[in-house]
Amino acid sequence: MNHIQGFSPAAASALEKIAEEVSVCMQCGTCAGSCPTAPAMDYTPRALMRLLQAGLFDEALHSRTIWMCTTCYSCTVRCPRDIHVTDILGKLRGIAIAEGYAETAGMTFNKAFLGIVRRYGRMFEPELLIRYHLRQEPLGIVGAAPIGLALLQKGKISPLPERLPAEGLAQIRRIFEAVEARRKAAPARPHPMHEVSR
Amino acid sequence: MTPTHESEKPRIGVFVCYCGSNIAATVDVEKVAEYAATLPNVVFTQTNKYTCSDPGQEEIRKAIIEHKLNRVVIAACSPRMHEVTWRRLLQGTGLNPYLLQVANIREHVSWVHQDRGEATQKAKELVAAAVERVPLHEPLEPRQVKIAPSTLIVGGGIAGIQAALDIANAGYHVYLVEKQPSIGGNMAKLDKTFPTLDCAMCILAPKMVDAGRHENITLFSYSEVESVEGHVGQFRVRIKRKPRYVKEDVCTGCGLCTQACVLKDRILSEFEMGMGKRGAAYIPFPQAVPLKAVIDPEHCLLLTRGKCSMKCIKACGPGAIDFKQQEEFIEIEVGTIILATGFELYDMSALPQYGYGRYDNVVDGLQFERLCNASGPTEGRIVTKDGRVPEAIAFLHCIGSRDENTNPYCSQLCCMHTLKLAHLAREKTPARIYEFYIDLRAGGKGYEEFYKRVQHEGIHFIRGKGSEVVQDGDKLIVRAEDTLLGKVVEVPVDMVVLALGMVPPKDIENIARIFNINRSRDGFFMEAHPKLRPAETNVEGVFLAGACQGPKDIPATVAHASAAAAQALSLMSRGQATIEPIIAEVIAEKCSACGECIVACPFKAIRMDEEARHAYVVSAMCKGCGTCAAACPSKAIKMAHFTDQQLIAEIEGILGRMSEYELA
Amino acid sequence: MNPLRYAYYPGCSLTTSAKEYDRSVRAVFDALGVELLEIEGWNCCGATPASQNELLMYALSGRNLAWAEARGLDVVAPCSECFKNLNKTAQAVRADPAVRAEVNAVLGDVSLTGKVRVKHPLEVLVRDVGLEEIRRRVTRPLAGLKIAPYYGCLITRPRNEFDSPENPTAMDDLMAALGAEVVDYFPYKTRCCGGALLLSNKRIALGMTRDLVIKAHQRGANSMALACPMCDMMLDPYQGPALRAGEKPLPTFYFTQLIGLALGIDPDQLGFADRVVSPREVLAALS
Repeated sequence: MNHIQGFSPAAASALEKIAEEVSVCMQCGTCAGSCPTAPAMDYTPRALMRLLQAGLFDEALHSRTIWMCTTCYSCTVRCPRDIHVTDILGKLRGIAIAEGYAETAGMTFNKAFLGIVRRYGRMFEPELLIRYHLRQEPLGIVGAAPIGLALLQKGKISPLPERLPAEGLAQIRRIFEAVEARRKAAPARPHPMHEVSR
Repeated sequence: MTPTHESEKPRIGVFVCYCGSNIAATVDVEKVAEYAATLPNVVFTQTNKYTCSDPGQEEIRKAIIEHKLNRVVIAACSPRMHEVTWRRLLQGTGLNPYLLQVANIREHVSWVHQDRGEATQKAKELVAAAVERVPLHEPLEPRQVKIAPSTLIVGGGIAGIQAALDIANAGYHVYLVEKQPSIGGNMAKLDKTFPTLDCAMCILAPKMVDAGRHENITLFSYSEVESVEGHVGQFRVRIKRKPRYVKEDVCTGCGLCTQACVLKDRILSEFEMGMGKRGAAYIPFPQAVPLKAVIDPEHCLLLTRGKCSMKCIKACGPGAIDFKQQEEFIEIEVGTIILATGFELYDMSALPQYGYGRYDNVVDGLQFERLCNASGPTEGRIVTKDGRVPEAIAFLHCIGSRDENTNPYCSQLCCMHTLKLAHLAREKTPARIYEFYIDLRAGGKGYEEFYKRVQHEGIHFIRGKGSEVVQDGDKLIVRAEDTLLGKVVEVPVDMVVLALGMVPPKDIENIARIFNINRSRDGFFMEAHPKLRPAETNVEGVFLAGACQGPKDIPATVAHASAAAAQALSLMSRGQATIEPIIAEVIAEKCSACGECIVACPFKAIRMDEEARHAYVVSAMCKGCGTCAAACPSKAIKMAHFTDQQLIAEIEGILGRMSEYELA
Repeated sequence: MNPLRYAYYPGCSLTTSAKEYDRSVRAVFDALGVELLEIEGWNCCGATPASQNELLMYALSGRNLAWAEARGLDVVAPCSECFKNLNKTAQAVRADPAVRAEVNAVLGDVSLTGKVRVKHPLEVLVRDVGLEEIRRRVTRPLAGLKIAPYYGCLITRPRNEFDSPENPTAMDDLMAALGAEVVDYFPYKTRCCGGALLLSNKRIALGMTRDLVIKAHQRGANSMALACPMCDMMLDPYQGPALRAGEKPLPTFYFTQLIGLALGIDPDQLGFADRVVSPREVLAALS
């Protein structure tokens, strides 16, 4: 029995749970064959499950795969071993962010999105777009402008954020804080697999 | 046999088994024995390495005699394993065999617990329960019944045919009941058989003919079992014969009526798996046994609408057609029963992503088999629905097998079956052939060699489960991952063959109810023991043959069928059987004649004595399930060996020790 | 029969980019006598980014569900992403006491018992109102529309009790009940539009959207019915960028806009003017 090395205790704990779930993967590839973006991934979803089975968590978290998932759930619905592949990829995205992996476009998007939810309680698209483009592709905002203008004309973009009332906002912030506190406090469990490398 | 000292004060011997390390690894066997020695009425305790072995039994035998034991508790494996063995042991020493109680400290303790302290404690409690209970045991006398020298076989596929011939050839009578108009089952639909590539019909048809003509076999085709009463040795069976609307004794099987039928070639043929057509008057296939026409009441115009030109009647020279036929019921008595009800194909249309039932050229394994067969709808030419010779064919393994969304189990024969189909396709077409598989399971005599042969024939093996099939113009696109390359592939083909997933027949629940036998989690019938009693069931005298017990290929089916036949023969040649005395008894004085027990009894074994105003148990039919005793509001039913007092003592044994445990 | 009454969770998109979805849902439910009570002070469900932490997704969704549960109401959520998050939360909280305890601990001042159910408007219309009732109320049959019913991913996946994840039929049946011709859009009806990758992998996302439009044309559709704001983003404003020069655009509608039209509700109230791909030509064919 080993504990997963080289990660924060919270991440090690989350990875242990994931490893347990993927232990029954039989590598049939149904997930990859059902995935609309698998051809653009560095590891197919099936190969990613294999990395997790082999304890190669670092490779899994570095992979482009976790950021190429559209969360369409085709893999999850069809998995013959009832592995919740889509949800596992989602959790890996969270671990990659928390563990400070190199920022990808998808990571910028997720951080900006949740930051806005935390601030206003609701989405505010213009800020999301600006924050995303400032960090990822500043010129992209020019490309998005025509559609943005069209939507603005039709009243489909609001120029100002809609905030929850103060009491609601306080609740939302408490939720974020409590979730983060629990994530950090997750107890590490022994990892029932062979030698784990990072 | 006269019981010796069992009416005296109880003298209990407790024997605790190590079962090698099966029990001892988790339970401190010596501690359990030490503890047993402190219990009331226990005069002797001993531990054994293997209680079921010869030396183990010998020690118990000696102890019973030396220490004048009159009650025995054995703490070991499940009573389902060895209770009968140890009862025989008691009988050999002159003790009544029912003065034994088995405490299950293996399946209920060591195999399911990990903590040694807690497991040992639980084992002690179970031993205490047995020690409390066993003094209340009463000597019981088993009953002997005669075994009628005849067998009912349900299902006329290769399993039923094989078992019928084995038994009939041994000189016992067989009633073979088949619900279809002909025997032959699924094997009759096959073109060739793996791995030897024998023509299926060439090896099956002679057996079908033998079964049809055998002097010791009465064949009821197009018939179903309605009900079964009685017990081993004396089963009373009621059989429903569906009307064929053709007199079997007159019909010559000439087929003129099938040619004359106004619905000729208008109805999908079951035998051709919907790939070919038949009329309402039809003979299922040329080698049918019995070779008699049948009229399909769901389609025949006369039978559905009351109006038809009735060309069949005019066509039939001997005048065999009889629309006045009615259902008939026949009652027989048999000593033994063999169920050989086979399997059905998983309905792949429940998986829309493969397009079965939606795209013309997505077929299942048996449909493809019919396309390969010279007597099939295309006379053996493998062509698409619109008559094209396919340029590419994909075989998809494990559709409806090994899948939590459908059937979690492996259907066992589809790997080999699909390899064989690929081989036939290679023989008959110039098509590129793909096999999409997860694991190739080729365990069997000559199977791996066949796999290699098919590889050598230029078939493309792609290790990845077919994920979906999409129609694009004339082509079907199979999408999958080539997992060994880690690349998603999209392969255009003209035909897709989905490997057959085997499931229990739709009416299996009804059959299980009629014969009162158990089913395992996969839905198939459950054998008495997965290794050592594979052809027996929980009901004595009822045996299983073939795929009704779980997916099997032909060699395994035939072996299993012969095993079932041997079991039935062994009973019948012995001529008599012992049945358990553990049955219910109505205490007439307490009975209020309310009839609750009659409703509750699943075996129709309780009747009402209307004159004396009390219920009574027909002991030969009682299976000792105890349902009536629980249902009786007047506590007027005594379940032998499971009396209220015995059960309460057992519970007190556990609860008493529990409280001590909590105090400690 | 008691009048149908639900807690209504519009979600962020329905207040901005998908405002015609919001208007048409409200108008159609009102016309059918189904009462919607908007959840007071609702918050964002966290959408896809919240999937990085299950507990965060449950808690953000759960705060909204608690309002409904406290009032004994089930929840209607029209946005597929919101519906998926809210429904997953309700299912998890109902099925697993450990999850329930954890979610309630995080929520603090409100709590969930797991009684609340979450429905997509499609389910309410087909199951609770019933196709018969809707058919009876149609005053302006949609003859002339050849609709590709597009469900997207998240109404029936990962799992939902009311329709098949591989071949759902509720919207097909509903559009047929309105008198429209429904083209066979299997298997594309549940294919992903790529919306989740619009920012991070735009080229791939637009390719997926283009494929949907082309397949709908191939099947003979002259319009598409939608049930998700993200699919709408891809198939309306971004349909232009997705198509190549010379390729024919396909007008798309929220399915509730089409129901409203068939029920005789004033088109202005249903937000047809908000569509980017002009529906004028195909709607003209209607009358």
